[in-house]
Amino acid sequence: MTAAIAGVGFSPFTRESRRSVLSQATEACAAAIADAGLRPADVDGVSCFMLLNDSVPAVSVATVLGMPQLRYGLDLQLGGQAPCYLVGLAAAAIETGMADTILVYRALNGRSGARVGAMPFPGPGAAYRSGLGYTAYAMFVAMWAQRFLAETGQGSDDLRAVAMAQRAYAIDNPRAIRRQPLSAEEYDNSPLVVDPFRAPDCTTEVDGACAVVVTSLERARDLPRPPAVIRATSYRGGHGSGLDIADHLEWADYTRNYTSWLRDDLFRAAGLAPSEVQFAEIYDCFTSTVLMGLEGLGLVGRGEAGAFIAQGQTGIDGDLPVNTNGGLLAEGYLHGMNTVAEAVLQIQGRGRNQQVARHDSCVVTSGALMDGSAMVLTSDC
Amino acid sequence: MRKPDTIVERAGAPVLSVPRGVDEDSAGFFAGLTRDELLVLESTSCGTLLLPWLPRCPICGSSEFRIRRLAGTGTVYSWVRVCRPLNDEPWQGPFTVLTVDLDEGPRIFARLVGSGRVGLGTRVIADYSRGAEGVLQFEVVT
Repeated sequence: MTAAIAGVGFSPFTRESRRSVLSQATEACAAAIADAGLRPADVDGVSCFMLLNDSVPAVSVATVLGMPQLRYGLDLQLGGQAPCYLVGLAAAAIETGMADTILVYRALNGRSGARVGAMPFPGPGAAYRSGLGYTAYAMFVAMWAQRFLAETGQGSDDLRAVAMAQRAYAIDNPRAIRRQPLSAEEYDNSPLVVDPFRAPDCTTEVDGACAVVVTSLERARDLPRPPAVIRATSYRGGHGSGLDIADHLEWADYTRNYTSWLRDDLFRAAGLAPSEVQFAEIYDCFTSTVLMGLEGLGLVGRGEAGAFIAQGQTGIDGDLPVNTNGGLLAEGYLHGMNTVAEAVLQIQGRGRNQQVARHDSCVVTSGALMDGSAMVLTSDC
Repeated sequence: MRKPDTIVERAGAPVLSVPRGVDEDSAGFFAGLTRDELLVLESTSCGTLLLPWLPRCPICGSSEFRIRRLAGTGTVYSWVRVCRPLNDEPWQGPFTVLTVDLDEGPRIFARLVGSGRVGLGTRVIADYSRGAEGVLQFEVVT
């Protein structure tokens, strides 16, 4: 049995929601259920992810939405590595008969509440960072970016290309937080936050929620939206993934993240070559992870991602549209749940003014550094 | 590898923090730092040097270790310059954190101190003379 995504839902993305996380979570989940043409009583599984208890548990959503019974419930303690992983787990649960229809959501007051960018991540590896002031997520990704850019012969021009290409997509996206065009001059004049990152290289934190509905392909075919078929999913932590979400002392190569480790398995399982993917939604908490993801997945050659983007190849008229909602950089930091939702909308042909011309297959990633997940979605043909 | 763009300037702000989150596994490492010693665990069965300190060796599975003192010399694998405050940590101005590949093998994070310029591959050495207690600092080898 194959599984598919049948609907997506959002609550508004804002900088200050003045709402509870539960209120936003249930709004997005109810919207996703309705989008799929279902009722809460049709849903028997709920799953989500959270960092340091910044969200509400799956059972709370099931309770508020009045689901008669929960056959699958999961709160995953992960950040941006989780969305594709949770979709894959939902698909597996459906394929093995544990549940019929499963919500996957991310909900948080990520701007007005606990901000991930300011979290000093605890864990068994924290002592090796805390005394140094090496405590913020931007610093860890920047540490990787310095090595990656130097080893691949790329630099600030390539980061800038990512920021500008994605902002161009966001201009017409009503959900996006950053919708003003970004010029090269503005980019260059923005101050360094953590070298090599300037403000436009960093995601913008938001309050909000996003959800998708996973069910069997058979059932999805009877629902109003075209199914986004889950061809393959993969989670991977490579050798020495660390003692906690921030520990990278045991990871040998800061120029290759989880995408390099799961690429072969993912595309083999999907029955596609990387070159056959028509568009990509690449996790982008920072610009550098787009370069690393495109190269890690083999969508471009090593060291070629920045030039590929600067040439316009990832734009709406390019060979491989990438991050068609403006990405986390511009739409907002829903930790990659909105990255998944955008992929679904594109596959379904609901991409608004940013609908890509060829939308029968895409690859989606979740995560930035040691571990993460990815999936291949296709249309039902 | 392109190097000219990866040069940074001086080390920046002094260390104000002390390590937080030291647990039963890492206590020996940080106790060593307070004595100006850079200590690792060496698996007695396979010889692997462990940093961070771990409860068992990932290579051979042994929990039998010797404590070994390292020279405190190494090479910069990567670096990051923090240009503005990102959280509630005390802020005294920009500073640089290094990922150092120690000559004996293991990798460690450290603050850059002194006035040297660093880039990828720069040789550095532990400097215990001006640190906050229990915080590892390296300076450029001149």
